[in-house]
Amino acid sequence: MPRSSFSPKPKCSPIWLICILLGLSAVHTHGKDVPTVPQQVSLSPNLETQQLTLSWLGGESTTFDIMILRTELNETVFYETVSVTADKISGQHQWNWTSVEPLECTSLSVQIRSRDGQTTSDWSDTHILPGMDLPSNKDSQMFPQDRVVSVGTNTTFCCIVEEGLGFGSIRYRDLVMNVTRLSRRSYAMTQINQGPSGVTGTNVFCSSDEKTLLNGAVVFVGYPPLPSDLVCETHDLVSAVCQWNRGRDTHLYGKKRKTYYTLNGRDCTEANQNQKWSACSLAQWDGNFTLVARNLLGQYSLTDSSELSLRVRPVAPANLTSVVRAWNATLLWQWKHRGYDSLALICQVELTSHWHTTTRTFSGVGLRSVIVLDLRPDEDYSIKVRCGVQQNFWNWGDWSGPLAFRTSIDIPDAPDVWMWIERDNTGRLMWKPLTHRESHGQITGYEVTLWSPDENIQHTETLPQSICTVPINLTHISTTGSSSNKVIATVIAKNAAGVSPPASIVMPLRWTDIDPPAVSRTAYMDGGFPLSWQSDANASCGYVVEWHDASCQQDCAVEWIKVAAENTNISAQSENFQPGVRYTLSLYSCSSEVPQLLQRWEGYMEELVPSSSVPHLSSNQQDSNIKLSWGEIPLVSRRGFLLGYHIYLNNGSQLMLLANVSDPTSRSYTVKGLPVGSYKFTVKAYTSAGEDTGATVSISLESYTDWLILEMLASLGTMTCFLVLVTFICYKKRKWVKKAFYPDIPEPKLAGDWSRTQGPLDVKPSPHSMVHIVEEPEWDSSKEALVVIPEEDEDEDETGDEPVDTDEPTSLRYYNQVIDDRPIRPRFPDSSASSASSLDSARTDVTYTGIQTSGNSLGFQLQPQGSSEGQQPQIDVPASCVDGGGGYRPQMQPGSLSQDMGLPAPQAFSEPQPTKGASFGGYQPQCSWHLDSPVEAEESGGLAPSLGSPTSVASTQFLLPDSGSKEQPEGKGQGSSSATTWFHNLLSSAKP
Amino acid sequence: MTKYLEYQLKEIKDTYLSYLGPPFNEKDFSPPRPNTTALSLPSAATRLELWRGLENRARLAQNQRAYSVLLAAVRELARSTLCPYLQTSLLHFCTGLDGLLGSISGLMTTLGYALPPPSAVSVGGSDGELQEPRRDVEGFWILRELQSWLWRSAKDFNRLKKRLRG
Repeated sequence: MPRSSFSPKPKCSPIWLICILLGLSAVHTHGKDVPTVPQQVSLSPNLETQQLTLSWLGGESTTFDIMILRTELNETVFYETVSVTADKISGQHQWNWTSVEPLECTSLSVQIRSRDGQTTSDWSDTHILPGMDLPSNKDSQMFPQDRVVSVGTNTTFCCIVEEGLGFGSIRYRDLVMNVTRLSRRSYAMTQINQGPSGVTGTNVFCSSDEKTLLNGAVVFVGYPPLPSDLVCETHDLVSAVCQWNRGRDTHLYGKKRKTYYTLNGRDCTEANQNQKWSACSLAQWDGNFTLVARNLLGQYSLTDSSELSLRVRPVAPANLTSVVRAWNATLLWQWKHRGYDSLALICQVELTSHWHTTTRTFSGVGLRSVIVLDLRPDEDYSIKVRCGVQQNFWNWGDWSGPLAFRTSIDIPDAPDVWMWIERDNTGRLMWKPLTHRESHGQITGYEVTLWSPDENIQHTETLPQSICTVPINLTHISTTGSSSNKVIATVIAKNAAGVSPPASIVMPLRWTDIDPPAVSRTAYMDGGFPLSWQSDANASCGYVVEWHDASCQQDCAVEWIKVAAENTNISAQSENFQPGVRYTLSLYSCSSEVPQLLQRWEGYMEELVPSSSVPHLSSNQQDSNIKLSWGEIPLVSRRGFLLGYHIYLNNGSQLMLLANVSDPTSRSYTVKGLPVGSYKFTVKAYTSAGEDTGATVSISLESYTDWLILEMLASLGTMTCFLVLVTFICYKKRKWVKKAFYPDIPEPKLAGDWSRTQGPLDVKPSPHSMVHIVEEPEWDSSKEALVVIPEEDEDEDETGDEPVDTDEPTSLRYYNQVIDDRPIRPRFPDSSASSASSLDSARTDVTYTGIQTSGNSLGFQLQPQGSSEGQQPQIDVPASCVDGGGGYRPQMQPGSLSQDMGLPAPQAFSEPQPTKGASFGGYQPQCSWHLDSPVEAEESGGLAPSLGSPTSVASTQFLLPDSGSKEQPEGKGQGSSSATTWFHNLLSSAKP
Repeated sequence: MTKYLEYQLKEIKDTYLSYLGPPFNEKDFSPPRPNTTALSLPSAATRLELWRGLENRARLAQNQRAYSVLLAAVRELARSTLCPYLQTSLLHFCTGLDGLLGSISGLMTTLGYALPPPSAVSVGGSDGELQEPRRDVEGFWILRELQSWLWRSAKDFNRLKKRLRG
């Protein structure tokens, strides 16, 4: 085999490559060496700013780890990597750290190491910044002290507790704060967003656990200065005075903390700290001004720039003097600076008189005197002046001090004269007292002259200054030779300077009763009575408007105002106008003749309710109506224009409006339609302001009975006449009447044949029922009634001995029992016997028919109930003759009858009998006229209890009683039947 | 006079404590008596038996010294006060206090007692020497001591009056 001996490629061993790489790597590794540990670390604290400056030598490194610990508790306060470049000259690294807490609060440990990427050096030696809580400082302390901070910042305070004491609390003002423990004795708290302090700052206090004060601090929280509005000007044309607004309150006071100002570098110590505006002066005008305000929290700058000529503000004029006259005065003053002599000035003069101020302006170069015109004589003035530059006016200078003076006096103005004529031709000449402004000096008196132009006679009188009205007897003047009908009165006022121009007025010598023109009303408005009128051609010198109280009668207070001829409307104004007073305003024309009345008004300043109510209020009944009348309210009491009257019905508690009488001239009102009763009426007059208190009148409305009484009287008269006529006729025809109504009763024949059946009354009781009573269910048994005698009872008593048919009165029985409704049994055997016999006797029906009533029959009722029903009296009652009371016994005395009958005398009865006294009365119809009523019968002693006058079955005629009935005892019914008795007597007297 | 000054002081103290703000104006607030002025400011507090044992001369001398120091302290307080009203009140009070001091001195002279040599009174200091809270506490204590001294003086003068009459 062939062996190659040729090997053209050189052999490159990988071992060598690895070695090279490792070598390079080793070289590189050796180049990135561990950073050097920082050397010469030093700590430099700034306690005020709480800043700690760290310095060290750190070689080439630019990145360092810094760690700050609280030494005692080994708590990390700061641990960060920072980049710090070395100082090129010294090679030192320096880095600042600001602590939240004051640096005195506790000791801090600082360590630094260099960093190169992830490679770090070892930490430097620990450097400690010692705090004030070291055991060597045993006292309590608090930090920071007297710190000045801005509003809104946060401040951390720490309290170092005294050695041996326990910590209690830290209070910010009065707030107990949350604390953080920094070391064994040091505690800290932070107040955030602090508000501005007071003058003495904000107190922070630390207390022990025993609540004793350990220490405290004060923090001053405020603002940096913020001035504004810097303005500089000159007064003397040389220097500069700058003013500025101090701006907001910094809340920092005291020498250390207050704000200091500098103007163009010069301290402004004169700047008043308590004013809002401060000022500072510079000796020379500089054109550009810079103000710097500075306090512990910062500073602020303001600038201003101007030429001097644009900022000239003159000083106040000095040494004011005046030269005074009556109507003007010359005012003089001086300037402090010579530069003003050539300065064009404009000046204001302020004039004050009686609290009224006016300002007048003057101008001139170097102005130093002015003449003030339009002053008033004898007037006090106060005057002051200020000036500004006329060109490039910047501002008014200060006012000078005031100068007071009084102007000279002058002659007075002419008085304002007017007159007043009374009806008795006496007059008054009046003038308005001159005001201070019109008198131009103290008035010493007046001079009044009366001059008659025709006679050229003149009377002059001098009056003291207190007089402003003088009486004038016009009658006297007219009778002392003056042929004219007018007199001219002239008044002049006098003062120390002279006499006033004369004021004249033409007065008539007599009062002319001219019908006043139509009086119209005027309403007060805007402080016066507005008046307007048509222009009058005769009013050559204008008009006079005069007014006075309309209710005034004598010596009235008159006011007036003179109006120029071209004016035809004014507003009459016076301080004397009173509400509720009516004023009469008159317009006169002024001419060379006597003033002529042109127009008249009336008005109230303010209408009020009437002060008094209507007088003389009276009420009268007219038929069924009530007429209210009243008088007129006096003018002075109306206090307004009356609009009418309100008529009220007064029921004591409230008023009910009856009517509104809208006519104020009305004086009466008639109230209609009221029922009978007592009434009170109130009448109130009213104006636009309301109604018065009202006048009240009472009246009792009675029924209108006059006609009724007349009618009754007429009826009674007619009735009387009729009765008289009837009586007269009856009297004249009494025989006929007797015959017709009272025929002679046939005389019975007692002796003789008893069996005869002929007679006026055939009374034969029924064998079964003696009396048939028609009973009504509702009949009250307690009342008087006829009582049915039961047949069986009758049967029991029946003896059968008596004759069947008999006229014996006892056979006709009935009871008018009043109380007891039980069937009444006859107690006496005789009666029973007679009854029994009557049963056997022939029955005789007694029928009450057509019961006749006399004139007073209304009182003669069978039964009250029955009569009321209108039934009972008309009923035909088949009645048997019961008892002994009802028997027909004409012309027979009761006593003889009983004897005849053989019956025991009534006196023998032991028990009272219902028909006592009449039981045996036999037939006594005549006496029953007024005894129809059972009641009356009983009350009258038991008279015959017949109902009405029974009539015979054979005759409808009344069975009239005989004259023996008069002997009946008079009872209560006697009086009531007196008329009947009289009539009976009348008829009886007619008996033959 | 001590009664009048005591009444006047009460009002001033209230105003001053309000001026200092909380906690000075709190009712029970009582900061520790500062050492700065305590050295020169004589305390009115003393042991009762010692006080009773003092003769008139010693009592008047102590009063005189106390008011000398206190007058200077109040004047300094007025000077450092920033409230004009309070400043005026304090200065007015100083006038009364000066009168009281003069009265005591006059009385001592009348009684033949020698006046104590005027001590170099130095209370407080100018602005900046004392920190604010210490200044406030000092002011608080000046007024409190003054109040105590006025009360004590009234007792002293009453006793003196009785002794002199006897």
